Amino acid sequence: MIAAKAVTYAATFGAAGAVFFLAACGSLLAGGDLLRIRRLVLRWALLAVVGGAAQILASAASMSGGAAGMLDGSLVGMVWQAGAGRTNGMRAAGLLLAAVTTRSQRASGWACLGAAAAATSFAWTGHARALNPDVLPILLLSVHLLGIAFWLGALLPLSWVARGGDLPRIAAAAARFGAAAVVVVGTLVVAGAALLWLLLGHSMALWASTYGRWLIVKLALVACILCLAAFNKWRLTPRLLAGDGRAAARLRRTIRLELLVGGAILAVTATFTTVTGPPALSDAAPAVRDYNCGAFRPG
Amino acid sequence: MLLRNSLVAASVAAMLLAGPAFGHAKLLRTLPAADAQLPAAPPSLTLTFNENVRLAVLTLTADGKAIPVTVDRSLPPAPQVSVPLPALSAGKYQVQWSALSTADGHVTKGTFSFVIAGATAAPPR
Repeated sequence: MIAAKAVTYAATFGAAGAVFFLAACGSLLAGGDLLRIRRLVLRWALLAVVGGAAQILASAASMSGGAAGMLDGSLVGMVWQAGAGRTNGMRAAGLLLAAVTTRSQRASGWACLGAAAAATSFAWTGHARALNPDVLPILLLSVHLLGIAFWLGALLPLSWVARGGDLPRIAAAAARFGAAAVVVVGTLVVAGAALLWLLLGHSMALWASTYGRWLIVKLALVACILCLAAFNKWRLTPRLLAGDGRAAARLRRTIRLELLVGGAILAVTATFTTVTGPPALSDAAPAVRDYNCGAFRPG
Repeated sequence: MLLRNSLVAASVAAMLLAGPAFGHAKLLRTLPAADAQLPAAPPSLTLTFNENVRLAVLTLTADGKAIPVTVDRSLPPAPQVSVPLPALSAGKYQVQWSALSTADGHVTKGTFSFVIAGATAAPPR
């Protein structure tokens, strides 16, 4: 279930981010890169839909205690009705719209709308929605998700652009993406911090709860990727703009590292949002005892 | 190559970390209570949660033998779910259950046991 969730995150953000990248930098790209990125949107979209379906089947299997649960229509129906149907439907529709309308040199408004719907589909189920009231958490999570999609989803297309030999084009794309990323990443960090506050309930929960300790791992990875992004923006991009050819190779390497750390962030997020619950929800009604299976893990 | 190896490593790590999925829904109490010693067989099993859930699976076993129970999956979400029991004889019973939180869509599951004492403890349903 966790693997399916991580794949769905990666594929959805990959597709949405590629669309956003086309919208931001499409006019700077060569024809070959444009075609490759449009194909990437389609491939990520297909993988996201498959990943979402795998998640539903894995949940049914988890409830039944075996793989046979995947074939149990009533169990699959329960998962679908409990929010998976809404979020997967919204994601699939958004990705379909994005894939179909990403045809021009720059992604159309419809493509961006589809990408935004897909990226924010994760906000319509899960812990943020379980908070009461849920409007602010859903809004904060949606902003956070859009930022993640814009940032992480653009990395692979940007690495492809950096692979080409046209230095002015690479420099222009890196500069434009970097300028937009400063605003987007700043917003996603603020939205993420505010959501974190709501989910943790109190600052001590960061250290005292299982959920909080997983979050520390995630925050450490986020700090790493922020450093890499800052290095790209403030060290490599000026060198690219000055015509330093070695900076392009360096940019490709740091983007690969960013992709690696970004993948780890998604894997960690998929894990702790599945195996633990946020203290703000757990503390509302402490369990009377810890049973064998660990369904009532303290903290 | 670095990226490919990293993705493989991340996938393996995710698989290794993967365990039973637990959401934030909590079981507050059960009737019969966990580890309870009962003088007579209960007519039903009741599970009370801290939020609305839908009971997906409940299995009852005694000495490794499954006792047939019926879970109505069409019931609307509720914080308390009850399952009628057949006539039970004396012995130790193991309950395994799984439920779906309708707030966050996460699966919660667990096990507990209870004992029915006495030679013939099987009241009519």
